[in-house]
Amino acid sequence: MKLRVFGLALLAALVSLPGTIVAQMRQVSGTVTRAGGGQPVAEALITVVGGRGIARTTTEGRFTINVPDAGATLSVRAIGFKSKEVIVKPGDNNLTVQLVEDAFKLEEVVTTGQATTLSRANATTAVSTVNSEEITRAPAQSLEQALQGKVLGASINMNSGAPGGGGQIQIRGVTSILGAGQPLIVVDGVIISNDAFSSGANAVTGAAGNTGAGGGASNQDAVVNRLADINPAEIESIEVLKSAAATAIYGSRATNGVVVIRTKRGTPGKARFNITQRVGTQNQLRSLGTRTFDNTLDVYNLPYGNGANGDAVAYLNSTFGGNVANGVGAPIRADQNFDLEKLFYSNNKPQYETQANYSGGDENTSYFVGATHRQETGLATRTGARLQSLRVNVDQQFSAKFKASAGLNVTRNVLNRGLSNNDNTCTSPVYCFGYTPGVIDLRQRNQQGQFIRNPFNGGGNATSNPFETFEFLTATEDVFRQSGSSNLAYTFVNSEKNRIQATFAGGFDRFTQQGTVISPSFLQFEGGNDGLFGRNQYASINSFNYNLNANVVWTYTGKPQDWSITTNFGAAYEEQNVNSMRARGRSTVPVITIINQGVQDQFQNITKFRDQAVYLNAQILALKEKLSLTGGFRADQSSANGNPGTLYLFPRIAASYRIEGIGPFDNLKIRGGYGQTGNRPRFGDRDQVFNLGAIIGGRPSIVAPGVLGNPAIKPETVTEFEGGFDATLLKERVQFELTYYDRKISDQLLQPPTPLSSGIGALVINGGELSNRGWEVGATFVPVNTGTLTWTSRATWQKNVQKVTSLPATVPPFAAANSFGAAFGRNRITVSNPAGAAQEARTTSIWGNAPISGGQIQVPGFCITNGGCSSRDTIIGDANPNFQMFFVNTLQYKRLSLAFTVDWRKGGDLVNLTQVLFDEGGTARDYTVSSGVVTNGGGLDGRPLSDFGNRTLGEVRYDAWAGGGDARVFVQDGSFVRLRDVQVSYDAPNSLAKTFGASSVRFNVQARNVFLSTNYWSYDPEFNNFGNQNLNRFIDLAPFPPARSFNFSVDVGF
Amino acid sequence: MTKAGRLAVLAAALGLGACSGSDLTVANFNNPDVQATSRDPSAVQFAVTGVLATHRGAHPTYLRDVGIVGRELLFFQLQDGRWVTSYLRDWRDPNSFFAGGAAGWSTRYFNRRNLFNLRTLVDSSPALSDAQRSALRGFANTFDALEMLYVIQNKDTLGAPTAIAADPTEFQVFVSRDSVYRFITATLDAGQALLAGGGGSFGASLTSGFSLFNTPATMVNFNRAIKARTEVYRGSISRLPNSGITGCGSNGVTCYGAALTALSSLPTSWLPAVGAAVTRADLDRGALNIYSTAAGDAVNSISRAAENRLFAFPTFVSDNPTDPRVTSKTESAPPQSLAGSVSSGFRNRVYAGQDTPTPIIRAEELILLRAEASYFTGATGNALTDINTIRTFYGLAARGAFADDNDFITELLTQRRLSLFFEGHRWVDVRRFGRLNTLPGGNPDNTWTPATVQVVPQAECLVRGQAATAQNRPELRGRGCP
Repeated sequence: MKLRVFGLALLAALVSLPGTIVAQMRQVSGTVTRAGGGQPVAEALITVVGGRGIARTTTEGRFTINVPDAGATLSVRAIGFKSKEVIVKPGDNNLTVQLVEDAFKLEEVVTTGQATTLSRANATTAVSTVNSEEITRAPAQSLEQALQGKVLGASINMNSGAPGGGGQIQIRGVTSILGAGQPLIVVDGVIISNDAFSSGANAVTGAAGNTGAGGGASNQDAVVNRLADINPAEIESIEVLKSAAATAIYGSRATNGVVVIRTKRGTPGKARFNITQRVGTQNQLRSLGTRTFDNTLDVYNLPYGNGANGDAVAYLNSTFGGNVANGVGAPIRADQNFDLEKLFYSNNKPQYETQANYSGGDENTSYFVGATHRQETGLATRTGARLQSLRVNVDQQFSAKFKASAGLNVTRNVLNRGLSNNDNTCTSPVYCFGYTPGVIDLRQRNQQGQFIRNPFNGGGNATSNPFETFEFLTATEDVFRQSGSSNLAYTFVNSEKNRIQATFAGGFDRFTQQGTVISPSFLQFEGGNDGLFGRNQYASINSFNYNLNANVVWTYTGKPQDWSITTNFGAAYEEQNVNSMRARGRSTVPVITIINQGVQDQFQNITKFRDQAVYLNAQILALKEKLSLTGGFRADQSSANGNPGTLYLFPRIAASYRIEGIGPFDNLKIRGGYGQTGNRPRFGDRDQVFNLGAIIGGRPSIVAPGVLGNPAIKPETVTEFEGGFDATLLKERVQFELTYYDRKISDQLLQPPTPLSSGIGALVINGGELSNRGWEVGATFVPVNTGTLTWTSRATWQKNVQKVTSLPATVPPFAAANSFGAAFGRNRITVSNPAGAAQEARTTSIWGNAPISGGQIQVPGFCITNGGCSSRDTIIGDANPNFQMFFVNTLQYKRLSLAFTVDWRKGGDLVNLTQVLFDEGGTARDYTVSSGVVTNGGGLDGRPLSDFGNRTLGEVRYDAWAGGGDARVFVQDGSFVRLRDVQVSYDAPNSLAKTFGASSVRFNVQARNVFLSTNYWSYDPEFNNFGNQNLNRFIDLAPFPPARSFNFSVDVGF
Repeated sequence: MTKAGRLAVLAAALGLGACSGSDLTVANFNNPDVQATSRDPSAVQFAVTGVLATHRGAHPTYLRDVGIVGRELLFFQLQDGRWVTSYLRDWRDPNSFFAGGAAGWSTRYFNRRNLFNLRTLVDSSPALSDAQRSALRGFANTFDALEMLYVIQNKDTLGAPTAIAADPTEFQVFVSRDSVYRFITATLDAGQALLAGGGGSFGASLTSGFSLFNTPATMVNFNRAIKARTEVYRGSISRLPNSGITGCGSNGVTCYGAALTALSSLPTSWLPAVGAAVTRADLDRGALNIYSTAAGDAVNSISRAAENRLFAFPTFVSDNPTDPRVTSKTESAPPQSLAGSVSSGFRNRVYAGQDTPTPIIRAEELILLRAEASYFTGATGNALTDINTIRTFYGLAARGAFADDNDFITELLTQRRLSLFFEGHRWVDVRRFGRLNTLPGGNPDNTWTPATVQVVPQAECLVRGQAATAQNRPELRGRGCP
């Protein structure tokens, strides 16, 4: 009965809503300008407080709005400015509103719950936000690149320079050894997939071996994580939640932070059409260079033997004369030397982008429609990335109580990234060039139009001609993605004291990734690895995720402007499905590209997660909004846990207190928080299974699992304390923030090895503790603000230290997954201060071989001077930077603006395997240096070459490595300073815009990766062969080189 | 209805929706659940196939690895110099790239875990007769022993753990080389008895590589052949100073005698009688690992067709340039070297095609095992006859009586080297006769020294070191671990 009453009440409320107040209206017009200089502010939003009038300013800053005759209060807001309320008295017809710039983003709103927010000024935790202008300052390969240098507390690396992106965001260090290591990405409330799936390059490179079942894909395939499908041009703002006290609202997938993305939405006012056309070009940021040879004997006598095989000898003798095998050399002229790597990565064909969007609306309905076509060109021939995206966002206010929002996005992302990274077939170009002395122009073709064969490094199908490979190989990743979000909000009660709102939100994210590799049988390397000529491979990865949320938010305002409490109760359900299919045909028929021919294999893998949660959050604003308190808990269940029914509880609490006008401070806020979040186990960790063995004699088989499942597995738990303060001082000329955090990850998910002699390789367990501590400091200055010239400068500093503080007694030290062993260095999971250790071990410490004699570790070079060595696996470096600093500057002078981002990383070691290739192959650019001291030799740096007998620099480095006996030579410092992006813009005068019939015209010159200063020998100290992974993120091995891009664009608004 | 009442109703509705316990259980789509599989009568066949597939999977890698260490082969994998530096140097540091060689350690124990699981399935399977259970246990014993034989060939003086416990975290201590050999012979003998009570069929099919051994009665022959190889190894090692080998009697005569007994139990259709004429087919008859290019199957990854970068060590050719075994097993190729190694111009072609089988044990080895066992039990005439059977088959002159033990061993090692090239024997053979120093260095200066053993993998060492410290049980440490 009561329920029926409730239903009738609801119906009545719905019906009786619109237009209850009818008042006499009049028109008011005005201008919005920047305080100080009088420059007009375009796109400012003017609303009648408590009424329904709404307007937006033109490029001249003009607006007109209907207000009640009796007078009203107008709220004026514009991005980048502090909002202002203006009282319109009866009779006022022409208003001038001056807005003050909000250099410190204090007006931004930060997320505090699934359905609640708080203004940044009151935020209880450290939050980083990035707005659309900062994201699109220069065209980026993917969103990660656009965020580099702009998020305090995050370490963002691109994995390579290949077109289309692929990068990793690590917020406050690593919070998991085994579990997910990437932040959760939430777009308009939809948790989207940021998984990375190989499109199959391994079928050619054989980086992980390519004959077996795993041969179709490897994590060394320059794999792209799917954040690459997000179009930066559609983003309004990004908020990065770092602290567990903030991320706990997202429960058991939020240990690595949450990236909350909001896309552009329509605003009421006249419909707008904006179009941006960009064109640009790119070149190599850094080239490795190559050794110049002047005699064929130098090629023949290369220590590795890559110039002495039969094809090489025949080529040298026939091209240059002489008879190298008999010790008769021939001169090689300078013009017969070729810098193959530089020639290969020299594609500067144009890249372009077209973006168009229109938006508009009235007080009830607003819409945004955006379309983008972006073509990025790769440095190597036939490489590139093409993103096409269409987004529609609609917001509808049905009544003062009922509001609905929806968004749909369709993206197609086609990537041609060629081959790069590790390789076992000499097909990854940089890899192969390391072993190919540049005394041959591999661009040549014979009379039939075929590329010449690479005679070096074994010749025949043991090697390849990368120029030929990239001309004829297809290696395409084609992603078609659809995502949508929907949000219904109904306000049941909206009184002075109580506001109760229910929201139902949900969304889906679905994509199909098709990977196609077609390697024609005539390519030089074909047949080399498995005796089969020609291979076609097709991968189809279907991913479907959705999440649903239901919330009730109740705000009780005790005394207006004094205190209020907001309570949010809700529930969430999430599901993630991945079905990946790979099929391969080898020994394929020419011309056709289907895979059902030749020798065929198929592989399928399915994963599925179901998670659900209930949560309760509360936030209190008290003492005239000086004190904020937020807190709550979330209880999570997941199908990945040993017991899917068990609820895991994650509490959080945080507080901040603001003091105004104390000493030099305009405003000082002290904040602190505590929170817990979880990281669920991987799919299948809980299952006790047999594995599928090989087929033999036509019969399939089952075998023991390599890793023993654990039916008691549960999420690891992050507990974090965060504290700090935010301050503005010197009359809002300086803003300063400081944060310290201390994380403990307990019940870590670990995969410790069992004795191999048990026949099981590893276990999955919970245990031990990981500690993660760091500082984040940020300062924003406004050195000049004259109205005509505004200069804003932001500098940030961050440092993080992470280590394993305890492990269960049964867990031995073990190497983190994915590396190349002690001969090259890798991370090791071990307690930080084991008894008798010489130095503290961090999870970022690089362990590798160092020579030992008499129980003592010997200096680098010992293996040369001692004529050999035996080694011990010990700490030989640390991949963790001493600190990172970002500098962001924006200058505005009248119509001209300049913005640029500079990154400085101090310290952080890499394993420079790219250099190993060139030193081993005898082709390093500095190989023949024969006097002075060792350079680019890791621990050997500064030692006189004469200490090592009659050896050149390259020989010293390679011989000191001693076949892996001393890995310290190639463990090298990765400090750098980099100019990441620069933008110069000019807002054309309205007179010019009008000649085009437009309302605004803006010209931009944008450049990315402009300048890199580092002593590091290889391309880029931020790259990693293994792509996204939690540890071992320092392995540089023949990546796709980084590009520097320059662009010119015109934005026109109508 | 009050506001609070409305809120309560809504909250309850939401809460019910969320907590109604929609089923969160998700099955594993990719791998069969142990419990469910154990109840399936077909599981035994899949598990038997798993044992054979795992054994097959490790074989090419094993043959390649011990072939390189034993200076039979060079692997010119030009993208990675560690194929020389880590193999030809006496590389003692635990290195995940090579040291410990998975095919000589982890894969072997992995298959022993498969055998452990097979025994469990055999016990629980509803579809087997008691005789079939006995037969399958005999099969399991035979393969268990064979896997341990690979391990001890690899680790030699280091010894190895022999037990497999249900709980993989339970540590088994290393036992001595002698104990491992005795474990192998005892397991084989027990297997022989189980096979004898095994009736007419296994109740599961083996591969065509075991066509001569696909009944319990004929599997006994395979069991006895492995037993003969084991006893010959024991016998020869027992003759080395301080070998620690027990039970072989003076000069190994007891073990060699046991080998002869095992060999004499084999039918002449497999092992031709002493002095009988032999054909190529006779010599190649035996147990094989098979390969195929079919989907999901494995190709012979060390075949000439699949891998053209495996070269014969140059001395294999230069020491006996005209022997038909040398000319048939190698082919000329442009000379190649790698990372400071000697150069070779002879490509391996022992296994021609992607589907060419690799022999586990075949008659040619059995004849040479019999020659050795005969010689060291005093039947030098039979030894000479068997040696000459091999010599004359390959067109060499029959030789006269052996001058002394040294003369015999030299002749035996020569014939084994040529006849059994790239079948995993050379390194083991020179070592068991104390002649490891006769192997060349591998670099032009001839200064590198061959490894005496392949060290225990680092992961095993670290696990054991941790356990030894944590439990204060030093005996848990791995042998040869740093």
